[in-house]
Amino acid sequence: MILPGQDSHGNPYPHSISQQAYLKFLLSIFNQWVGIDDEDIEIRDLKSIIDLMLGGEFRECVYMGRCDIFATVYSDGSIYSCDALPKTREFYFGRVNQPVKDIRKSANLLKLIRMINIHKKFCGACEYFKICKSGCLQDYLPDLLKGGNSSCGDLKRYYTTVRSKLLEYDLL
Amino acid sequence: MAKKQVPKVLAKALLNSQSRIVASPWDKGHWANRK
Repeated sequence: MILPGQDSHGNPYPHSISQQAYLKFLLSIFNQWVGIDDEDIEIRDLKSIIDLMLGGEFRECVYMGRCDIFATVYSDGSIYSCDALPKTREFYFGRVNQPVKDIRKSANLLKLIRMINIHKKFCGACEYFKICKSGCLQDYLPDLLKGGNSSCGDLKRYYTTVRSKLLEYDLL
Repeated sequence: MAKKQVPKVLAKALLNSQSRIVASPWDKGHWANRK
């Protein structure tokens, strides 16, 4: 498994690759996958996108637009957001011994939901919104923290390439 | 012009496109990214 990864400032981790490099990799894999044409080979990241473009409902968490419904419970009982996000104070929601309703009302969780919704509103006009639902918060968090919105040009190129291939075979 | 033959992998994707499975972050392999 190769994943893009970056810290909350948008800098790739030393052991990781940039989103741009990751998408380039996915496109290369996509072309090879179609070229080899072996039904036994399934690539989840591609499967998600293709299924959604073909009208299916296979949706990985990164294409759900619901980063707020995934939490991480750590061994000390603390609850933070999805572990793809930094384990920092701003993503702390509470502890396992608290009532669930209190955790749901956590100021940090409510702030996260607001952030996601603002970003979704920004993405709403994009032709690919129905596919990515504004994407994974891990990817656009650095842009949000800088006060801007996600710049997902590479992601759009990825979607466009996959869509072009499906169009090429009259599948759309 | 003859229609291009659909690759088997894309034909299979078309058949399977009605799956309702939703994967979680765990399935996505995010353990590898733990801070």
